[in-house]
Amino acid sequence: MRLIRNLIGFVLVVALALMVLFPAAWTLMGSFKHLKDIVTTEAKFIFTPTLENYATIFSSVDIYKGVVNSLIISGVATLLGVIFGLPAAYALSKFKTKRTPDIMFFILSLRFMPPVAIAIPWISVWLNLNLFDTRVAVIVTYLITSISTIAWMAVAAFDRVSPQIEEAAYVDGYGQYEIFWRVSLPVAFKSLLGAVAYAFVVVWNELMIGLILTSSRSTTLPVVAAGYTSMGKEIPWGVLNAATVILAIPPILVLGLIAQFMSSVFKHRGSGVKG
Amino acid sequence: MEFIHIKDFRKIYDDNVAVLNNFNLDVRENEFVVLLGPSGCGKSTLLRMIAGLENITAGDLYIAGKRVNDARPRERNIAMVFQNYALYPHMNVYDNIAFGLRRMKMSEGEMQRRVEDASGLLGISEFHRKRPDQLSGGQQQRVAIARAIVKTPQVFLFDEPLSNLDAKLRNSLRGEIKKLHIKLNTTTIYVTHDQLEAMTLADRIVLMRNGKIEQAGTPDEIYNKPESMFTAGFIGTPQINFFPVEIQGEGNRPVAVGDGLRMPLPPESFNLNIGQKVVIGIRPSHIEMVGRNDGGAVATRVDMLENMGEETLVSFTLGSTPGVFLVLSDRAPNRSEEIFIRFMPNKLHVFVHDSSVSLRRKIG
Repeated sequence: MRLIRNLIGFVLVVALALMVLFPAAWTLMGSFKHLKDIVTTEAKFIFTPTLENYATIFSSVDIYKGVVNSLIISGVATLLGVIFGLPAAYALSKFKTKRTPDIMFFILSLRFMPPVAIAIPWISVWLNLNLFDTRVAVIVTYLITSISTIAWMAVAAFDRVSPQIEEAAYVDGYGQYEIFWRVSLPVAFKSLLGAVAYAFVVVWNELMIGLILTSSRSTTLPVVAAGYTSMGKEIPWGVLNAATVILAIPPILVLGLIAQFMSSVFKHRGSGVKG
Repeated sequence: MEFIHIKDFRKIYDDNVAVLNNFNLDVRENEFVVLLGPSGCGKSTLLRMIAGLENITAGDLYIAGKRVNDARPRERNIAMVFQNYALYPHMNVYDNIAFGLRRMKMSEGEMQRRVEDASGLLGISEFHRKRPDQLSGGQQQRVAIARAIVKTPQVFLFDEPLSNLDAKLRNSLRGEIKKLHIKLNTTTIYVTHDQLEAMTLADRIVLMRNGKIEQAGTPDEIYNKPESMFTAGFIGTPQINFFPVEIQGEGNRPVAVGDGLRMPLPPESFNLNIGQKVVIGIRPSHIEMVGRNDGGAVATRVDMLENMGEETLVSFTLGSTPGVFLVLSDRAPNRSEEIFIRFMPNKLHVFVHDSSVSLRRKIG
């Protein structure tokens, strides 16, 4: 019985993994294929690989601009999200009042709004301020997303920091701000990192607002990549696949590399033991 | 001289529930005071008010002659040990202990010397480089105690420090806390709901109930001269027996008469009135088995036996009231055996039936 149950579980997990991984793998393969290997009636697993698609991308001014814009816009929006979102989350977590649930719902409700509903009013704002199609405009608009995402997730992270630990630091002589910097923030760090990485990925992947608020100078990578789909039957599938792979690299890096790097940095900072 | 002076303490939370009301307590220098009571009696709130973790709604708190109502914890010169250890999970043991000293802007050498001393006292020097989550519960609480003593505070505050440990560890760490107090002699306030911890550690027990002091005194006074049925029932294991009786006169001697029970009471020890309804209290170790009814004894039957090793706990029933007593195991009766038992007259407690107040005469 147990063996059968384990077997069913194993098959299900493999099936789910395939469902998730196959399109990703197919995209990765496609990015190394010639167009004639892609536009076939039957799927081709064996083919002569080419770097032509990547060469096209890296020689394309549009894509290069999109990468730079995306890095700056997502990076700054996330950074500002951290600067404004973390203290807000800490206050919401540690100083609860009757209004706290309402504030929390308001923050969450910002994430319910359809991107189009956010973007359309901003068009006239940025046009009037003469900032349409600038990075500043896109960053400020994305702050709605990044601050609310980080604040919402960070409240949960700070909630998990035991109040007794903070009280112990208070009895040890530290003030409220020192406790935030020296105890609560490092203790919650790993969970907070997840919140920040998630916010970065959400902003990085965002298409609709970017599409509406930019036209040429400040287009982000998703907007540029989406541009390739509007070529009708002449879609350069290989280039599109390569663009998707490039687009997916930062989110993967963020979740893996940065998490490890940052947590190891903090691990060494707290200890001052003399040998 | 009192070292901690608590005057008319009052604590009211936002929902208008008074946890403490007109609470007064003085703690002498070097004294080990245990705040004992059931959960919700206000003992932890009181400790947190002394620590500076809770506001004092009304009243005054003096430590070493200085009014510290509005002082932050660090200005009160106290250290606290929490029930769940509350170690900083992102720091190793050394840094946990040194964290409070860092705030004091102490020289690195002095700090190291003090951390070594405190760790040595608690036997945790070898763990300096480990993180809290690599230690057992008992080791973690040792680190927490070291973190408290390293600051050489004027007052130690313990908030149920042993409650999260298993029984064996609890006993050994309890002994160490006692040794530590003998060595350091720091004024200590210790909160617990465990009467055994209170009895073994305290110079003075303050038994609390519903935000008030039920009785305060040495462990000996609390155990032997409980002023209420609550105190008598809260202290001592196995629990004290209570038998409701009525006082009747026999000649000029008062006699307790109850369901299946009749025994003379010593009038010199208690204020008794004929016809009064009272409750007799007698601890399980103060009932003895006698061979035959020699006047003061009562007849009963053994309901159940619980062998506890050296001693056996014997259950019986008088009328409809159950009772227990302890007897050396090699002299234990058999189940269902008819026996005679005698309450040691000088160990009796008598309480008013309705108010549960003790009727013991106050000497002097």
